[in-house]
Amino acid sequence: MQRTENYCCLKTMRLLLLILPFTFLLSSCWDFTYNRSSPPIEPPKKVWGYKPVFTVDSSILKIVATSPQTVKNPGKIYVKGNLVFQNDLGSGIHVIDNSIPSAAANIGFIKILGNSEISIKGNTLYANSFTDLVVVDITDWQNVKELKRIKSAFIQGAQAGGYPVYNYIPLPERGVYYECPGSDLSHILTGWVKDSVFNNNCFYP
Amino acid sequence: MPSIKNIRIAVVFFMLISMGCTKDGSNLADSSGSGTGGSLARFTIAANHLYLADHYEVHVYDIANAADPIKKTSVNVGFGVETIYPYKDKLFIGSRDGMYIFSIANPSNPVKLGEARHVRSCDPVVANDTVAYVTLQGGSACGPAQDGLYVYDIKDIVKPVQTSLFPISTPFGLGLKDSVVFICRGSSGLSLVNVKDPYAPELMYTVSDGNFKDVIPYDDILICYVSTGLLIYDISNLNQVKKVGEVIY
Repeated sequence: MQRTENYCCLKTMRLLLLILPFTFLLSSCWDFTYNRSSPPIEPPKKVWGYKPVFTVDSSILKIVATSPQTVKNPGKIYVKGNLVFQNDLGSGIHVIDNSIPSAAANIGFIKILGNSEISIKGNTLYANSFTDLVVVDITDWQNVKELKRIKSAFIQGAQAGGYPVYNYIPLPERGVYYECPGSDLSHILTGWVKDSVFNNNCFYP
Repeated sequence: MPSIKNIRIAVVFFMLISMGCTKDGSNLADSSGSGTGGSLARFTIAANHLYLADHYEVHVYDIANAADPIKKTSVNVGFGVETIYPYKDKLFIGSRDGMYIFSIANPSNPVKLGEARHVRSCDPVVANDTVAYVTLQGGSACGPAQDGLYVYDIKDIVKPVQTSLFPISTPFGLGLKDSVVFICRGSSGLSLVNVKDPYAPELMYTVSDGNFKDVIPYDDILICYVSTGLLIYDISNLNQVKKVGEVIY
């Protein structure tokens, strides 16, 4: 009987000895400063940043083919046959002829405001215009036709509350504050203008 | 004996023919098919259906009538969905907290088969029949994960098993050709990693012609999305890829 008890206590002691060093190790994770008073919060300052530019003129959403455009914010890529399509964030899709890779050439542009995504089946392009899904006939890609627009089909980050608007029309530079345009897309975001904004606004990392 | 020789010749002949077929097929001479997107895509087409990967959900449209997509369903996936990659009758979805595998055996109604949860990060996926490759990028905008190529055995599709973590800094999009994974690493270039042994990936070499974001391997050509636009490589010899084109906008 005595023996068994001793054995039990020895086992417990061993266990304690094993656990003890770990407890000390973990103690560095505990925040002992929790109860200290935090420094006073500074009032927001005015800094250089960006304000959104909106329009109510929905004709700006019209999808058209144009002459080749210079690249501004190159985005996602898509390959179909001898053509390569590359999104330009917020403005549309570059069309590149890749039939001779060593002489690949930018041959045109499909203007789609708020575009970031591309997918093609046959001669039909499926893309987004902000949160809308647009269906475009590209049989003659120099004369494209919008077939259908499905509103709010592709919400991306909007549901999350923290709406990363620069996913649609990117800001001209990174590491800047910008006036949060909110999730109301009844007005169409067309761009950004440099202005003074408070530094408690949205931030583009 | 001569009959065996004949059979051998016939086999080689058929192999050549079938190789020819594969090549023609993927060249998309037939305009009714769909094209190929990069690993960072949120839109993809498979089996006459269009899949849109949202922040939380995948929206499914029937596009049998191309001009008039019909909404079929929206499937809840998880938190922070970022990419969608189709392979045969499966969709591989990369989100901030894991890789999700859906069956599209019934294309109108994707069903979740398996998932591999990981530390928060940004993570595009590519896959073949038995292995899935995920690049995870940690950092302020993504999460605390260790940068690297994560390899998963997906022979048991409902239970992906991580076979290796190959540390590689700042990985973005990726592409797969034969047993080589192309990893875009931003300003650090484009790295080729040999994954013949999924348990022991090996760095082959890195090319640094630009700031690489994503790639599409397409037959013997690699289309690269770089910060300045497009670069095109000849990848017929994986031991020595060669830049052949560049798009000057």
